[in-house]
Amino acid sequence: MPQDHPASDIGAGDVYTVKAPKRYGSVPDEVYQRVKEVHERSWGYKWSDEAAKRLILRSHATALSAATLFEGAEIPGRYFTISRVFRPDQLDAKHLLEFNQLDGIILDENITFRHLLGILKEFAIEFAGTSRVRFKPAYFPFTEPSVELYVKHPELGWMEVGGAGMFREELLEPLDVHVPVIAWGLGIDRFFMVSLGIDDIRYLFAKDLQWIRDQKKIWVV
Amino acid sequence: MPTITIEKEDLERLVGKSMRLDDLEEYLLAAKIEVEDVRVEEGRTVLEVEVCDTNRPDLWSVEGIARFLRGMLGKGVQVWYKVDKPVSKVFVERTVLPVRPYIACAVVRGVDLGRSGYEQLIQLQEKLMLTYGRRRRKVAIGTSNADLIRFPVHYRGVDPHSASFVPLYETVEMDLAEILEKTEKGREYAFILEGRDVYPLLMDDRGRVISFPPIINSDDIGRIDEKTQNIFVDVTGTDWRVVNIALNVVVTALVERGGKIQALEIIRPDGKFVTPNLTPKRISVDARRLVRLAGIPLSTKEVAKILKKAGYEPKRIRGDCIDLLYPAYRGDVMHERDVLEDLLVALDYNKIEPESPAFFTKGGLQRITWLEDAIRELLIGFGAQETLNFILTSPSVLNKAKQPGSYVELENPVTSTYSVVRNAIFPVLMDFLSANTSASYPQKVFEIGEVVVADETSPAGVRTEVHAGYAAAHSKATYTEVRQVVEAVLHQLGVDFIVRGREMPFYIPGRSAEFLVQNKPVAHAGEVHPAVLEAFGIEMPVAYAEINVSLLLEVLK
Repeated sequence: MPQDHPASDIGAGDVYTVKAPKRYGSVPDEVYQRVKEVHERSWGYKWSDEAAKRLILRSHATALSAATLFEGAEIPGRYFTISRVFRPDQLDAKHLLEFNQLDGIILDENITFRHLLGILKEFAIEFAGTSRVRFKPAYFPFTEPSVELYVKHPELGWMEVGGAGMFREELLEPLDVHVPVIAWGLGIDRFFMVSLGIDDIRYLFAKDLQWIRDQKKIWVV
Repeated sequence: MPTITIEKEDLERLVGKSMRLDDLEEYLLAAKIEVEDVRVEEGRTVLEVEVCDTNRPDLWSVEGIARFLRGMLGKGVQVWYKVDKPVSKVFVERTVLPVRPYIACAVVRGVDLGRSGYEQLIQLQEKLMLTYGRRRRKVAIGTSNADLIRFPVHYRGVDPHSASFVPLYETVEMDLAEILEKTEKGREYAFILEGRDVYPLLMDDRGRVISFPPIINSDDIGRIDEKTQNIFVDVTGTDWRVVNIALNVVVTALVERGGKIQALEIIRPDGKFVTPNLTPKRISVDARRLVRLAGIPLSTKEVAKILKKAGYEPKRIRGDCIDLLYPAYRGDVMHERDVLEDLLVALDYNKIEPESPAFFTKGGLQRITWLEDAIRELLIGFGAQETLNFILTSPSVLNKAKQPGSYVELENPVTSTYSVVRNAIFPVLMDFLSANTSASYPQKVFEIGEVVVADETSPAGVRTEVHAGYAAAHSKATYTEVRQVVEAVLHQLGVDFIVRGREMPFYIPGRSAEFLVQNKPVAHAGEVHPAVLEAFGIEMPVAYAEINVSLLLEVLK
């Protein structure tokens, strides 16, 4: 993600920073220089060492997908993670300050945008029990083309459940990945709410022991 | 993401087609524009729309949206713009270079703004400056009445007290320093000029102020209204490329209102430039590669035809290579990939048949996940209820729990309740029990999750560990009970361990222990100290154990 992306500069403040320790000590120099070079060349801004090494709480699990590519992913390869992400947001029925994302990537010489749509549709069928999906063109700094997945819930109507796309060359090139990579990040909590029939996301982190005890534990598929 | 207001009737006039609201919403999705609100005001259908693509400022006005829709509707997108040769100049003086080095200008003549056009122009300027211009730091835009300006104009750096004028919508003359203090815009954007002893100023040849970038225009020649036909546009900033794109976005929007563009010659100490430069930009793409990434069988000719809808002009086709021209107001086309997305959007994502990837890979869990799952199964087997708590907590919860060790504090917490990152599960699980003192006992609960602890050997200075916390709260809860749980878990995992007494601040002295595997303390267990129970308002004895799952994995390897 480019450092001077508009969202990070107009007071949107969508990421938590920490008081101490403030900076990451040492980054493998070779990849650091390559990332810096690609960012300055492609997005045309001056790279800030300070911003790059600033420690934050991750706001997207995509960071883990990039890390997986950096560590050396297999080709062909498929990887996924369910991870906690953190955002300074309002705490209400739809928003939490921390929640879970299901992120995944597939790397292959022959992977296509159609495959990405196929994977997203599969998620809708498996998790939301519907094959009624809509794909919306979207914008994410790290993918191109980008798409948002909407599913039609029988009661709640159309719901956005996640974003996806094909990783940009600007992300892949410095990590030495030379095959296309499709990637997605789904709000897994939303799927969970649908299958549990709850309309307040705060129940996911319920502190009410009796309520937890009363929930059914097994879903018959 | 900018939210802008447009009028449906105005849009339809510019597109040359009336549209049902439903259809319009569909078309707008292709431009990554979502309709947030629709209302009728004085007979006009006003749409509030969110433009999701922060890299396409050319879509931040009704004129730009109309242009996009014309392409999608097969009416063609204008790639070439006629620009009349410069008859006037802008002199850039050396004095302004250190403070705000770049300026690009144009005159647009014969514009028929009207109320809608005027509102759109002001809105486009504001949104460009805020988001694309990074709160005016990178880009600021002024529009003035060209008929009142005597050319050439002069862009110079001046002493803040040496020049004064009446700022836009003010009534009294102020010097530049006063403007920063006394006007709303001045106070809002003074930060850009902080610490400078020279401020940028744009003046006409008679010495009258046009604008004081990036703050405010003058109230006489620097003011336009719905009836202004000949508009002088100045864009200043810190990045020549971005300044020019912003100028191109504004002037081409005015072309949609009947304007004709006249260039100006920018005379700089380092050379002469003519702006605006609306020569189409070029990119060459390999149609076979695009088709392969899309996964859709299309011929090179078909690709070229679809790209026309997306606003590209195929200049030449050689084999699979297509040379494309695209309008100069677009600054987002960095790579062939950007063209691929435009191609797919023009095809319509929802008309593309999804397909499952066919190749085979072998799946498996990460070892840490496997270990977490194993411990989870065992704890459930012991009759414990799994809970899910936040990783963020408050210093007061950590203090009440007498949890030792340093922890990470957030710089920008939303609320103090979630202002630090937990360094153990214990405090959070005690907080959970404290919220459930009226639920029936015995209560046996656990959580397996991440904690962050100090680590001077890590480049970050901290490391994330997975811990498993288990608490038993009932009248007969003892050290022996939780010790047996930990022993059973370690035994099931097949590791040899020793148990030895270990005092912890939150356990009753003499009633706690740690579990060592290969000399590493992988777990501790004990009876929770009455002072801690009292701090949490728990009236039942609690026995507790916490396993460092990450450390346990290390010794298992």
